[in-house]
Amino acid sequence: MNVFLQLIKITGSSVEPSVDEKKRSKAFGAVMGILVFLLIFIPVSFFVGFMVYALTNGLVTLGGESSVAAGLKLMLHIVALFSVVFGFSVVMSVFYFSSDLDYLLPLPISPMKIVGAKLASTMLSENVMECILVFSALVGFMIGYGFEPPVGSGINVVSFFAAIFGVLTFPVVPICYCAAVCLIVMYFSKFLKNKDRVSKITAFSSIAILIVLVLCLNLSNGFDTNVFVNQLINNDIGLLNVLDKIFFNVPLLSSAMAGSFVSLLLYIATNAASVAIVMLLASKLYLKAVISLNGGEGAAAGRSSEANIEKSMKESSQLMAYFKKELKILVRTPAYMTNCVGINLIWPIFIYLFIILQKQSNFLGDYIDKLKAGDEQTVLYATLLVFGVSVILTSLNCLASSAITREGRHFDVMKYMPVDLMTQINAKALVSIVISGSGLVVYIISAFAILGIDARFAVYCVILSLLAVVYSTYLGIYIDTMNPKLIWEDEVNALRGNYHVFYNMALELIVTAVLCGVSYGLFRLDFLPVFFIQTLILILSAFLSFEFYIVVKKKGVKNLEDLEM
Amino acid sequence: MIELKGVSKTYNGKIKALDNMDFTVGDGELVGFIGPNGSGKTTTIKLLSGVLTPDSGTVTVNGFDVNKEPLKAKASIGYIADNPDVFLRLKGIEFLNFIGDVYKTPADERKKTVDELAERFELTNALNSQILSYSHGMRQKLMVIAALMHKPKVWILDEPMTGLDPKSSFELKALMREHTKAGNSVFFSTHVLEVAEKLCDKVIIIKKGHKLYDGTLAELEKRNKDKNLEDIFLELTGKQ
Repeated sequence: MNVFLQLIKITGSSVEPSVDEKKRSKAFGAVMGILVFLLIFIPVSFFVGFMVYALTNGLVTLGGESSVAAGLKLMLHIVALFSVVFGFSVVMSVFYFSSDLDYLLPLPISPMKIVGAKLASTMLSENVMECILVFSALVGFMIGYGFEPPVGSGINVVSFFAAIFGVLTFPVVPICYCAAVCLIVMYFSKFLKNKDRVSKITAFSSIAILIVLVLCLNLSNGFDTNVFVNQLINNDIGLLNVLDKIFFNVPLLSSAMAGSFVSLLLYIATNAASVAIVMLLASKLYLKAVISLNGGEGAAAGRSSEANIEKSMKESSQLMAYFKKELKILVRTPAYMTNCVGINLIWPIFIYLFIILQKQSNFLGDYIDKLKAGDEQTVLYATLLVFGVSVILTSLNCLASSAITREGRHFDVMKYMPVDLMTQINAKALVSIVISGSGLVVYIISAFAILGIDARFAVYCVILSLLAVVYSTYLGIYIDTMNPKLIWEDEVNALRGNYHVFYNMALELIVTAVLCGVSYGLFRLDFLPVFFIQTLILILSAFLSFEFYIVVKKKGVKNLEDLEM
Repeated sequence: MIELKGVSKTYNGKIKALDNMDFTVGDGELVGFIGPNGSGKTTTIKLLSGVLTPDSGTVTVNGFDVNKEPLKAKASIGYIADNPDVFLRLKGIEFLNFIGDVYKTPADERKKTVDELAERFELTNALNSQILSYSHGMRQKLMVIAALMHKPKVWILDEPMTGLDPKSSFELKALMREHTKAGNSVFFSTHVLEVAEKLCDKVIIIKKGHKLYDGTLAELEKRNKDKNLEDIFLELTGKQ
């Protein structure tokens, strides 16, 4: 096999499940894969496609020919932006910190080939979700624009080719950006040449970029749908104009989708040029930077003193010892810090957006007034929303669904320590409950305080939210005990290659949907007043938490006992 | 005291790693476990430490059946695994304190042991750094200190000398002798025949999951006159 193709296979292999993991999860993986597809991918795709369809349809009717693809452009910019924000830490990890480098660097292979293979495997692994989103956006555009629209010539054969190229190559430019920035930063900054510091700075820079971009939307001036559509028609949105220049592939693809052959050629050429530039940078900058990297703090730097040992030797229970150990590892490992802990810091951005939008356009004014007045239906909606948001946000941070996976090759330690496996699991659960729960409690209290909602209802929601967190945590851990991904090259791959976060989310969605359906049914049929339904939801949440605790205690522990590496 | 009776272990229902293995390590005995790569040494040690479960047979440590009373058995073992790359983001001192909590060692006792062993292995100055920054040898030394902190009666060590500098290797060997002299048991695997020759009261040689020899080195040499341990080992296990 060609050396380059072999390299792509090697660099991408740690994301794939091992042969044993595949065997263990065959039936379970197939069922969960279908559920994830039906409950996550299809709804997300439908939402993206519908948004682009609706915008395109509106713009075709309202605007001129030049604004036809503005809706598609907006959606593609959002996809590209998220690719960059989440791609930085992946590229940094794959290029500079994966353990395969120990074997690859001494081999007589050019840095261009190594980077090329790593770039290709990163794009391939990032491509799945992106492909689905881009595909949905392009289909939404094609339906919205149609063959015979009131303006323009409609989609043609070029649009179809553009769609194929777009779906397959859309991540190229965002990932090339990440690669180029990483190559330059790592080469020039001696200060940053510390593994953990670099990874943490990169990850938090990505979050900072997201915050700055949200602030750039300038929502403090208010949000008006009509104004927004007019701005789209007139190409008058400052942020989008900036993004057009950064993600130059997006306007080209949008224009190609509207039928421009020249744009299609330019789209292909700019993608090729992006890769060429990264390869050129790699040939000049990669090797020197990757070789000079050091890992962590130098041992000589840390001087331990008598007092330090004295101070450190404090007794704790086994549960607390595991809890502290788990917390320290999560906070000190950049990949875990970003994906499991730091992700919880993103939600206030959405709360900020929500509150600003609410203050300006008062789009939820009626709803909030009804909630304050104790309108039963509105109170029920709010209750279900709190439950749904709590379980989804808990599953999104993958603290629980990667709890066993994070042990990796030292899973054996869990077995030879004289500590009951359930105690070890409880410590992991406690970490998830504390991190997810404390975030949610703060968000609920702040949102309710700002919106001026009844304190008693806030207390109820906090209790409900915490119960939902407990249930979601034990469900996530149970899923991870069934087939943890223990063979991984670095921590980023441990999380990327672990599909349990999606499985967890799919099951959470089913439970939430059932809960919503039953509660709404009971309410509509006038069986019970809302207070009783709320109480039932609380009891059900407590039951789910207890039930999944028992499931983990009986079946989860057995799964781990039977698991041999 | 360690006892294996009729222990067999198969991986994935196909690969027989151990076949009807029996041996005993008595109190006050220092036993070396020798065999070629893939002979079943690590599997045996993982069975002793409770990481693996046997298909058949019993594993007893200090009178506790490892599978029936796992927590009591594990608490009485000082175990060093073949890979010291554990919890690399913790500082050395944090790792030792964690182990102290796990084995319920009183704070003053763990402080005393850490002080003494860290000094002996010249690790004191590195204890405030993350394990990630340690060399392989330093990580191995840390594992040794951690394994001995709760004063276990039985030591089970998988390739404990790997990566240790000569002084630390000397110290560990001295500790092993001191431990057995006090009436305790030490069972360790090694590839270095000279170590087994100089250190052990008894050796167990295995190949492909079968025990080939279990006895003293003097007896082995008596049976094979004019041959050194290396020649005897190669003859027993077959030149590869």
